[in-house]
Amino acid sequence: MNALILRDLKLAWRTGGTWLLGVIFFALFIAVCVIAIGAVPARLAEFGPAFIWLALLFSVLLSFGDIFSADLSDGTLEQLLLAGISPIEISAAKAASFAVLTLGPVFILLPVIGIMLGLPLTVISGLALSALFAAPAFSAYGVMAGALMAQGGKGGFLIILISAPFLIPVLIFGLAAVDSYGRFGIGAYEFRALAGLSLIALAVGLPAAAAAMRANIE
Amino acid sequence: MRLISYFANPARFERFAKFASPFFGTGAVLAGVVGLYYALIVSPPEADQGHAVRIMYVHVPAAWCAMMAYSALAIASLVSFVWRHPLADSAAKAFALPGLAFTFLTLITGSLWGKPIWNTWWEWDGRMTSVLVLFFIYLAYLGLWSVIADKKRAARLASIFAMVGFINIPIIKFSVEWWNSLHQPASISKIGSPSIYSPDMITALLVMMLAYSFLFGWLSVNGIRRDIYKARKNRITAPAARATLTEL
Repeated sequence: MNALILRDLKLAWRTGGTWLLGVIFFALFIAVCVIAIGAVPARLAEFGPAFIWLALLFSVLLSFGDIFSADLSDGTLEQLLLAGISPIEISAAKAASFAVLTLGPVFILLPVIGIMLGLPLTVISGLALSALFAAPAFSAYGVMAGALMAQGGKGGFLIILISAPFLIPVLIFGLAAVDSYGRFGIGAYEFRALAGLSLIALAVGLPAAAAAMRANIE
Repeated sequence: MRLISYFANPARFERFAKFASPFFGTGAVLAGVVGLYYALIVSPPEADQGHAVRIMYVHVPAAWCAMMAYSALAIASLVSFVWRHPLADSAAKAFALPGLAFTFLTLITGSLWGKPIWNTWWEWDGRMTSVLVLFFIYLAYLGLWSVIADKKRAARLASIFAMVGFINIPIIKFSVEWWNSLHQPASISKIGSPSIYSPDMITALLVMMLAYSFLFGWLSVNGIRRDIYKARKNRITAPAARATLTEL
């Protein structure tokens, strides 16, 4: 499993930075949102957290398609499965490398963006924590959607459509968690709900991804 | 289990469908006429809502059928995933389109009901949001079928997706209890309460539910039939095409 994760990280490193496109999109999306509302500081304070969450959501949604497509088309996935590696292990490794490669840079940039939007420190840390609690859900559903649509083709929008319904509750509780972090801290029930959603996602998404992987090489 | 393998034979299903299709069809029409008569004429207006309560008779059965269709779809997907019966694929596919239509009807009639009662077409509460999510799940399911060219693989991937999507159904069911929302609790649970007091209201609701369920049955039996015919047609033409190739 570690070898699988390391392999993904190495491959990403050698592409010379395409793995950073997700975080660049994240920054760009927020810039566009800020311009759209006219950059009024009062409005930024109100909508800033929502923009950051939306940017996070869209940057992960748009990167789901790349999780499996290369490995399936060059036969790596088939070889891994033939070698007897359990598909669950592969999907867990994919989820981990997705978290490092796509969510990692976003986490690093998130406080910087928060400061640029003039958000107070409690809101920024609430955002970072809620995103952290939601990260397993993003990765698990991402791996599932990526495995379902690994064949690519016309599925560009479809991959968003098949993963977004599961991420809507995460978005709802993520933003609610940012709201109540200021008052209740990490003990707010929204954080527990987020953690629950993440656990459900891991329990459902990884096996589904494993089954889809099998179906794709049949 | 025995039932599943019994109907897995398309020819046997065909015989069942010959009887079931007219049964469901006439049942839907009869129950629809009786139900609408009760809903629109016999049943009294409600104490608070007045005549607007009559929207309930088209809204609640639609919501019920939307959830029933998804549950049926998830079960058919499970059968297809575990036992790989092609008929289960046809069934799952045939449940999806009526399910999508019922979900759409639920959203539309719900918002028509919401306007006079809550004074808003739409409210982003738990129930409405989760039904909207159900609508998107149906769309994504049908999208999977149409985008993936290899039908066998499409069946497999779509069934996996349908089973994962089932987690939304309990959320819809319990959303009114988990979140205190604008949406009222299930109408059936209010039988005997002051809002549903008359036996005619209950009759109207139950008969309309029957009508919708028959309609769903009719639509899905004929959907499965259509799928079987389509598969049969493709099977017949395939060898002929190969024969002309070798003749060349």
